[in-house]
Amino acid sequence: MAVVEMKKVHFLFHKSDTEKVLTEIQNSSAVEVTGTIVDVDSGTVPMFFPNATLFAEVQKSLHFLISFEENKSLITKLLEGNTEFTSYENVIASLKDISVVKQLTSDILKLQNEEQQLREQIRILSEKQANLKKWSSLDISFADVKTEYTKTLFLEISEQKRRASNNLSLKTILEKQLEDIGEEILFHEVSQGLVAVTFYTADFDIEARLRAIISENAIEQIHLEGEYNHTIAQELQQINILLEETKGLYNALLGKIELFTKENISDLKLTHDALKWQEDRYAALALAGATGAVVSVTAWIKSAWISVITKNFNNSGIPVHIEEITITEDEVPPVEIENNRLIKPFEVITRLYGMPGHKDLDPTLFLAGFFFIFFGLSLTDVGYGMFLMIAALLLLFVFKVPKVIKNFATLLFAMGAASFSIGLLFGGYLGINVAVLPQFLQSLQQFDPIANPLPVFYLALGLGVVQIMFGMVLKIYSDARNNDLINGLLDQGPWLFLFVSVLLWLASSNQLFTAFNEQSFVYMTYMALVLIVVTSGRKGNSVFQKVQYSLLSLYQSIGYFSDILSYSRLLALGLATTALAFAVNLIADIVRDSVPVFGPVFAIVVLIIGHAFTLAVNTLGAFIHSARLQFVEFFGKFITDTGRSFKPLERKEQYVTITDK
Amino acid sequence: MESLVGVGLVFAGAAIAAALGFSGSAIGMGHAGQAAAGVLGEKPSLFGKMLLMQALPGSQGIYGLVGAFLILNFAGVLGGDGITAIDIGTGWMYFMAGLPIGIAGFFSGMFQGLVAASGISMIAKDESNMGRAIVLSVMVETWAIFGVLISFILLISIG
Repeated sequence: MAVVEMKKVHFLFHKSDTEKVLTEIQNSSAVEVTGTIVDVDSGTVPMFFPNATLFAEVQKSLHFLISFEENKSLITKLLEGNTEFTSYENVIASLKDISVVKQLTSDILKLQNEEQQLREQIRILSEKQANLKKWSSLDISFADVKTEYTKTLFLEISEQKRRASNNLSLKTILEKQLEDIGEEILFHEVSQGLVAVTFYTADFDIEARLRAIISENAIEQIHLEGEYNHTIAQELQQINILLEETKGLYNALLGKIELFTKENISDLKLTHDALKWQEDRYAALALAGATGAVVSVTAWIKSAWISVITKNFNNSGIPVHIEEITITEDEVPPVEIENNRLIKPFEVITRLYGMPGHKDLDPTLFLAGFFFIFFGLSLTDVGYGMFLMIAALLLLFVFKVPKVIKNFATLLFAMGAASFSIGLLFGGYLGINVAVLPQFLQSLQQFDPIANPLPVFYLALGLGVVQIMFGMVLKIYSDARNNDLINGLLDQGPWLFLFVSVLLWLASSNQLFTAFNEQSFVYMTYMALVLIVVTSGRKGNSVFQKVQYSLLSLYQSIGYFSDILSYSRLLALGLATTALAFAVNLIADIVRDSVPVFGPVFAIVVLIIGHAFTLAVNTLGAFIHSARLQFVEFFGKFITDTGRSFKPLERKEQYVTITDK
Repeated sequence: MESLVGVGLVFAGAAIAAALGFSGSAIGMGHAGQAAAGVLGEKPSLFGKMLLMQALPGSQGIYGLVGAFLILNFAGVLGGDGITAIDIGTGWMYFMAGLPIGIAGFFSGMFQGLVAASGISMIAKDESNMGRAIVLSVMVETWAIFGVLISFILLISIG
């Protein structure tokens, strides 16, 4: 339950064992390869990824096939999983025969090309069909469109432009501007915006005027001639036939691709991940140093894993020498945290913030209890808590989901339990008035935040005081671990003394603690303030600086004050849940009473949707704000630095989930 | 009539505390959300951190909600016997008590959102800047918290 101790080591092995050693390292997930300090003399070890091209092809092929994968419903995906659940050996076996993989990707590429071609053909034919359909009422042959003596232009004006021209038809617009030409120009009107214009080829003047009108009025000339020979109707018929044939071919091809996908996609996914792991191993190897025969890999390793990995190498018969290196003063090891099964789910919150510094404490254990309570106070509902717990159990035991989701599901269960248990104390039952519930449930209620928010307000602030004080104690502990106990006590001790004095004074003035009189605690508070001033001054280098630090030290009390007040959000979030749930019930009541016959049915729909929405919004808010209280008000007391996350060489499961360890 | 005006002023104070807090948070979270959306377009894996940064300016809305509830509770409207007779003078006091939390919440929420947006840029460049980004953003919130404090002091001072 701590920041994992890291050691820096060299792995020294013969180049022929490179693949085996890196595979073992990758499977352990306990080693982060870093740049080596060994001078590279000559390199005969292949440092490049030999299957780079194949991997690119596999990725492209997989991307193509996935689009043809059978669409599963959400429930099916959850029950069957969205990845391939298989053993490690099966994944490795998928790369046994590279030629098979190459053939597969080649076949997929052919199918992809065929699909693209047919799709493009359909697109072009559909476009032609759409263009010609507009002119289908025009009974002229394309063979006659351009003759020795005549020429025909197909003109179109946009609806917007036509309306701007006083809503006149295109034919009228043209006729008005060419009315002096008379019978030397023929207009074939197809529609308000479509006209075919025929004129004598020798009439260059007419053509010039026409082109000027086209340009000035933003009329578009459609070029249909040149492509076709028969009448528009005949050409359209031919296009329709060709389009149907092509669509038929395309549908047949789709069927073939879908069948191909069904048969091969699972293997391809396994191959993808196997190649990805190989690529990662070679990326690590690129950081290594090598001589003619020996490879040296420098790495950070979890201290406890040195013996484990040595044993694994020995069992596998791989001769590897692991040499520990002294870490220099300015070297900062990567940080990893490890906790037991009870606390592990809360690592999600720590990782969301970022790793603590390598000399800091792992805050996960300490935030777990507080987060549990704060989340419970923020959601405060038995019904919502039960729903979260059920959802978590489904994710853990029924649905096949990735490990990351399973880890979060455990946290979700804890969050649900918190909301459930604190909901009992606050009388939160999906916005239902507690007075209508059984007596034993009413007797459990200790707080009524709507009727009397002040006790809850003070409870929230009180929890804040407890967490802040705990943070100070942790800081002392952290300093002690770093051989700085005296400074820890002098920094935090006086403030802790002040907090205790004020709390005792409050308890005494409210007759909760009468062992000593109130005045004693006032004197204690003054003593604490003096201690704060005195101890803060020790950090100054000169007398002036000591005085300056002493006087400014009390300013920190404002920071503590604002930290404590920040916890008032726990009241607000709990109130918001209750209020929203109450509002949903109220709306459902109104719907039930005002809609005849089907009122109760609609009311049930309102209840389901309304409470689902309230649950989603308030769960998110409760999580975010409970986490934020940890990060800002708690971590800031004892976490001094942000560490670099430990990034081990490991098997990243993208399309597969390995079922065996 | 006078008691109705008094009660109306209590409601107005609660409404201002809540509405200004909500508005400030909405504006602030909008700023932060825009920055987060830009980052997520390049680095989708940062969603959790971005969501947290966007949520930071939401505190002012929560404080506004707390303030509204406290005003209504102290005035006896909520949790007491329901709407009671409140003279205009007392009504004005409750109204004023809502102003610190409302105004401070509005402006600090808005500006905290801008700082959060800048913090999001910091995190996009280097994830380990998360802690620093949060602290910078939360500094602005201090003034909203003092607004809560003064509102609370005013409320408990109303006789």
